[in-house]
Amino acid sequence: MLPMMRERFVEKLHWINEDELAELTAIGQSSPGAMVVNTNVLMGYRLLGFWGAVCALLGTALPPLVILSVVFCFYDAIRGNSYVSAGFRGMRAGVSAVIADTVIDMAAPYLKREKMLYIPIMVLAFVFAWFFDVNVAVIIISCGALGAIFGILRDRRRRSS
Amino acid sequence: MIYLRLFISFCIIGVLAFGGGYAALPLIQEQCIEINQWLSMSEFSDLLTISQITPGPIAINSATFVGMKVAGIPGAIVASLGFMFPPFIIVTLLFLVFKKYGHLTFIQDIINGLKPAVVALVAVAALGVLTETLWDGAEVTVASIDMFSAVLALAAFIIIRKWKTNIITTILACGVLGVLWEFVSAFLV
Repeated sequence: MLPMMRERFVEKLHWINEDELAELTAIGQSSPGAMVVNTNVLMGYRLLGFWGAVCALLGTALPPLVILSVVFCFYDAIRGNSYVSAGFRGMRAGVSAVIADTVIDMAAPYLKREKMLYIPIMVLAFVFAWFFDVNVAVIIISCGALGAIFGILRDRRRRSS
Repeated sequence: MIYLRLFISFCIIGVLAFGGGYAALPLIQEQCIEINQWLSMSEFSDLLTISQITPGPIAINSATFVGMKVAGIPGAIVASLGFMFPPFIIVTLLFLVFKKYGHLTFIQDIINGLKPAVVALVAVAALGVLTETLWDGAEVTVASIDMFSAVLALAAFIIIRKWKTNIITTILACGVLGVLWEFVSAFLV
């Protein structure tokens, strides 16, 4: 997605420069939600203020909204067909593989030495979600709070040394 | 009212979906299957499949799909707006904070803490999809594993890990094999 944004906004339209795009992407990634939507909203702010941001939001959301609405109608109409459901069963196997691959890629960076600290969080979150069925929101909020505490402790240590 | 419930549920998903494309998965699963029963696990797997092979962020695709299913086109619009509303506010605030201080260290600390949890939660969601793939809603025992799906998933996994094949092509190829298998088993029986 990022290369496409760079090509369009930086190289073709010259709306912003490379550094600004990197900055906007960093802010976009720091916010919840879809990164593309966030980055485009920020681009809207940068160019035209509030209404620019609103336009960027609607512009980014409209294509997937239309595409998925159409796809849903097709899906709803043909899902009863036995060959269609066989196709979906096959694709489901592929999707399981893709997600497993993604989870491994997401987890791999935490095996590095300087990130070891976060492994207990990962293990605890898994145990609470899988075995105790704890609410996803509760887990995310408490781990975010833990991260904030780690940050405050680190700043303290830095200040005292 | 259904529109309000859709909007609020997707607001909750939007406000907590930190850490990349897949981060919304466990939240969507919780809001749409467990709390509200808008989707079955099998429909959720189909939704994921469709999201993977169409462009656009998974969360907006999901909001549209669920909204369409529950309340038609207005539902799709309300759910998508619900998902985008909290991030819109938050991104605005972060933009102002960044303009003022030139960094977002505090929010990045929070994200550093929550990201490993998100990895774990996505893993849990992945196990849910895998269970659906291997057992298709049947009771989970060794004997009731769907062997065709198991072999296909394992083969796809090995191929993706080894050759980093294109996701869409791989998923579509699995779909074609699924249809062929249906043909073959129809002839055999």
